[in-house]
Amino acid sequence: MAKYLVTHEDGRQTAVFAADEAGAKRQANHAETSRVVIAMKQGHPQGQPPSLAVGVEFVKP
Amino acid sequence: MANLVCDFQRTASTTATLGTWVADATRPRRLKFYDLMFGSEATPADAAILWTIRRCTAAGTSTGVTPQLLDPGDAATESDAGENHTIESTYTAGAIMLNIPLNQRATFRWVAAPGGEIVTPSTASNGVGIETDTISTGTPVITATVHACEQ
Repeated sequence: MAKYLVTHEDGRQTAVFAADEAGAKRQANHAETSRVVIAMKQGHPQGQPPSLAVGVEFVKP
Repeated sequence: MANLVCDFQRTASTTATLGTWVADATRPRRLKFYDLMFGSEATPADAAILWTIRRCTAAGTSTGVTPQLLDPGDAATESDAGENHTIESTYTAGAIMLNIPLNQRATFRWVAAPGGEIVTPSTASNGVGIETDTISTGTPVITATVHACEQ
């Protein structure tokens, strides 16, 4: 398991823990979806629209 | 030695991990968990949720959460925390530290008795995870706030 910094299409970045780069992208995309779903369930503003993960940078093991 | 706090959130799912907090892979340190608060901020509804705090030896795949220092004067943490897992943590069989059944409407706080903190070893990727073993109905949004001392 390692820490990655995933960059989204809109330039935002998400830190994730994953076994590899593919897993890091999947987790970052999941986090984007979750962010919107949680906001909808709570009736809060959804913030920026979901953005796909496009870049992955290794941070540390 | 620094006191830290993490906030975890996800839409609950049976046996899904809400969050984990583990020692760093290359610079592991002990964590002493002394204050845990958890509950649901979803629209009030009746659902039975079993909250389980277990030891884990790998954090799984999760979105990073940065542990926040309670005293900004302390050194930055070495530990790793994550929430909203898509691949579950590796839990140690039987190593259940807390098992709390609650109604979704209830918020629960556990504070360690002096000397009774949940301590994790200074071993890479060892720590604790919070999961919801049972949810009778629905997928409510759940949140936990966890305080720990890193040593």
